[in-house]
Parts: sequence; C-alpha cells; structure tokens
Amino acid sequence: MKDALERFCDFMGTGTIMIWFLLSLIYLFLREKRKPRRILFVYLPVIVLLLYFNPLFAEGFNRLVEPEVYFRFCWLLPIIAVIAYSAVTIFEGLKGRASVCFGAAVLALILFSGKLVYSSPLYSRAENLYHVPDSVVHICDAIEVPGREVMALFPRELILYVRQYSALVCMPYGREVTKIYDPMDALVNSEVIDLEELVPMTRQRQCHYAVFRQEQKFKGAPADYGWEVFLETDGYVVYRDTEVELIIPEEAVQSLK
Amino acid sequence: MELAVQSLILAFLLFAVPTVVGGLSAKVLEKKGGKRDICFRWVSGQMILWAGFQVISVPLILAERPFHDVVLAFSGYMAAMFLLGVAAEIRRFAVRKPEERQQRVRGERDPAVLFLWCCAGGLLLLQLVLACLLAYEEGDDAYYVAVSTVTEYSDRMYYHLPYTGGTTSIDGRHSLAPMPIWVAYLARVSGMKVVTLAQIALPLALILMCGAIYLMLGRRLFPEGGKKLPLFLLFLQMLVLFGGYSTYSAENFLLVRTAQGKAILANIVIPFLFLLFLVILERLQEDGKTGAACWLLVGLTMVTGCLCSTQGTLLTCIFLGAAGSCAVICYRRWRLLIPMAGCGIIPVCTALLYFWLD
Repeated sequence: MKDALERFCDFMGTGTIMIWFLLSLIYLFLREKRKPRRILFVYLPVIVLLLYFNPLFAEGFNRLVEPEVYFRFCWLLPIIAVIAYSAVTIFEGLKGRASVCFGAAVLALILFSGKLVYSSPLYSRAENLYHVPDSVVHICDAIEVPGREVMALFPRELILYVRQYSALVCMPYGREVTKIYDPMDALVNSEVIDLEELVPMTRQRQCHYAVFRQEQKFKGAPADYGWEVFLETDGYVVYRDTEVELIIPEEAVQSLK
Repeated sequence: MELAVQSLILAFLLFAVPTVVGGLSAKVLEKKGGKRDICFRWVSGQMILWAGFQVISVPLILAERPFHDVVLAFSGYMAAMFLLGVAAEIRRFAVRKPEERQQRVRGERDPAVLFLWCCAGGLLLLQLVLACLLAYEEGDDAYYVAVSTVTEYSDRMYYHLPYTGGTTSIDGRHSLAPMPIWVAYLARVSGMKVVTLAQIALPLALILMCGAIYLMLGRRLFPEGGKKLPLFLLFLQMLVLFGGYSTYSAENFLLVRTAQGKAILANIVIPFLFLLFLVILERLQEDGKTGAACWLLVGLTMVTGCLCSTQGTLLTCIFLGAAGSCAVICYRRWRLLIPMAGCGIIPVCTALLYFWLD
C-alpha cells in the first residue's frame, strides 16, 4: 500500500493536475446525468482508483510485473479528458463575458498547474535528422567497416546513441552500466585514465577503437600502448588499437574498390 | 531526393493504407450513406494492421525465424487488407444513392469558433514541429531504437543485445510486445534509416493520431459543434503540452517517448478503447444493440495493446473488465459478457505465454 501511494505521488508530480482531475470527477458525479458518459467519466476512474489502492490488487499486479512500473496502471485514468470535458460543460452553462473569463481562467490554471514538457533540461536542439549528436554520426561513419562489426569504447555521454545510429558499431558495455558496476566503465570515467590498467581490459574485450574527450588526461602515452590517433572530431579523439586485428571481409574490400 | 521518396512510401504506409483498411470497420461509427469519418478510418485501420502484426510476428519471433519472414508475411497481410478495403469502398460507393453523394453546404463560421479551432490546431502543429526540431536524451531509446536498428541490419529478431551487440537468447518479456520490430519493418520497406524513422517520422504520425482520437472523442461528446468542440480540443492540447508535471504522465510519454510501445499504449490504444466504449455505451442507451463490428474492433485494439507492451495485456484487460462490468450492471445486459470474454482471449493467451516463457 505504501509503495502504491509512493508511486502514485511520483505519477502525479506536483499534484495540482490531479487535484483538478478529482474536482472534475466530483463535479461530473453531481452534474452528469447521461449514463454512458457517467460510466466512462465517473465510474471507470473511481473503479481504477479503488483497484490501484487495493493492497490485494497491488500485491497481485506487482507479482505479475515489476513494481517500478505500477504507476502505468494510472494511465487507465482519463485525466485530461475528464478535466477538459468538465471544463467545457461548465463553460456551456455560462454566457457572454463570464464564459470568456472562465475559458481564459481554465487555460491559465493549466498553464500554472502543469509544466511545459519542452522545458525539460534533457531537450536540446536536434543536430541532425537522426536526433543523435553529430559526434556520434561522424565517429561511427569513420570507424564502420562494411560487412562486419567493430568494437569501440565510447565515453558515457555517447553510449545512449551509438547503437541507435549504427548496428555495425558494438560496444564493450552499454547503458546498463548506469545500474550495474563495470570496472572498465569506472576506469574510463576516472579523471586521469591509467592506460596500464585500461589497455589489457580493452584488448580482452576486443576493442578495435577507443573514443575519449579531447581534454581527457592519461597516465602513460597512448602511442606507447599501440594506440594510434585515428580521428579527431567534434571534441573527441578516436584511437585505433593496432594490436587488435580488424579483418575486413573480401566482399567489402571489393565493394569499396 | 532519396529522403523524399522514403517519406512518400512512409506516408503511404502510415496514412493511406490504414485509412483504406479502416473502411472495413467504417460501419462502427459511420451511418449508412453518411459522411466518411477519415479520422476513424485511419485509426481503426491502423489498429487492424497493428493487431495483424502482433499475431503474425510473435509466432515467427518465437520460432526464431529471420526478420524477412515477418516482412513478407506482414506485407501479404497488409496487401490483402488493403484490397479488401478498396473492394468495400467500391461496393459502398456503388450502392450509395445519388442524393447521398451531394456535397454538404457549409454554413458560415463564427469568428470566435474559428479562432478556437486555430488555437487548438496551432498547439498540435507546435508539437509536430518541435518533434522534428528538438532531440530528447531518452535512455529507453537506447534499447528500443537499437533493437529496431539491429533487426533491420542483421535480419534476426531479438538475437543481439541492443546495448552492446553481443548475442543473446530470446527474451520473453520484449519479444511478446514486438513494436520495435514493426518500426524495423517500416524502415526495411521505406528504406529510411531506423533512427530517423523512430525519432522524427513516427512521432509525427503518432502525435497526429493521438490528436485524431481526441477529435473523434470531442465530436462524440459535442455533436452540436459550436465553440464547445474546439474549446475541448484546446484544453486537451494545453494539458498535453503542460503534461511535464511528472515524467510518468501519459502526456509526457506522448511527447518524449512517442515511438515507444508504452507511449502508444497510453496515448493511442487506451484513449481509442475509451472512444469505442463510449460508442458501445451510447448504442446500449439508444437501442440496446452494440454490433459485432464494434466488439471486433475492441478486440483488435486490445491485441494492439499487447503489441505495444507486455503490460498492455493487463491494462487493456483491466479496462475491458472495469468499463464492461459497469455496462453490464448499469444496463443489466449479462449477454455483454460474451463479447467481452471474446475480446480478452488473445491478451490472456499472450499473458499466459509470457509467464510460460519467463
């Protein structure tokens, strides 16, 4: 029950939209007489809420699916439809200036109660038609070999995008490192990377390339470990590990010719 | 030029084909000889296609067949549905009386109504433009878009780890809800790069589809027109835009994770089920008859829910149970339990398969 409440709190965020929803529900319960609408706009949400907060139901649901996604049950609540419908039915009963003022007030209420989705700091201007950073496009295009996969180590800020853009570029670890510890990732994220430790790890995982930010500091010189600068682009340096063999398929060589 | 051709193919697959296929279910909402409801045809046609994709692709995925088998089988299904839709439209046109073909005379529009329509349309347009211009750092895309990219390239489904590229065995949880495979299918057929398709083309189509469902709901609730319908849509669009009060809200999912199955479940499948139930309940109120076509569409929409997310099986069944039980009790129509049970067959089977595979 506590879990369900916590997840409901997460779902409703600031809570003001949920308050408007509950008030709309009460208004419709009192005023809506048409049975089909009463069922969908009043009874259905009430049943969904009763089920959601029923400890037995929550227990059963969480056994079937992961408890973290219990909030998705709230998607069955027609929140925005109920708010908009009740607002319009109130508007219907008003005349002249009162109706205009009411409409404007509802819009203002939504504006101040909600939060613009696009105000999230995770939004940025798209750099290209792929909605991935240009650096990913340039690096992947440069290291891709037709007809085979290559293994490349990428810094954390790029790992979300690499495999969305290219199926030919593989990585020693992916997004899961944000939840599961990986010693290689820990090393790559250190302020000064000790190549003595990192290079054996990248070779063990057959990394043909390693990508680092240009300002990245190393303990040891990359060239001493057989790492050659392959490309410098968009603030990143791509090293090619000459010790890890990269055989290009014959057909690919032919096609390149 | 290449992108223009790819976009045209996609427009055909995402708009023209579903709209023609939707002609098969037109009688659910359209009156005999009445005006065509393009929005309803488009959305219902897409539900028919999505449900077909689920039924075709899941057995092929579990049998570890190559991706091109799904491409062939689904293309055949889509072509058959398209031809049936064309045939139904020709038949409908042939039996139409000449007076029904007359064009409706449009009355003069109140400027205030026009202004409200422009505001609501403008907000929807804003969402579409920003879907193209803004990129969102969405963690789950690293899984879903990568699955589509790898499938399209390797011709194998759920065989590679999307995060790294290593090989793996079939993952029951994701393979029973193969929406990413549908995305890969569109990429294969149109030739567009998966990542462009998932980040730009599909959000355009799906945000528009969600808007079309709200429009149909509004028309149903306010058939008399006037200011109420555009005002309802304006409030809805504002609530969608300002749905960032929580990262878990359906509206946030619509704008941020548009091409992911769970966003489609929350913003297209569930609202469409809501609309279909409104139709069913209004029919029960009017003459007590619901019609088999309507229930069939409910069933297909529920199957689409399974395609979107494994949770779709549970959520659509709970929706059916809650709304259907209310209808049974309020109208004392116990017979409604029969079509309700029929609609739940595939979702329940999918859920059982999920537990068996897990």
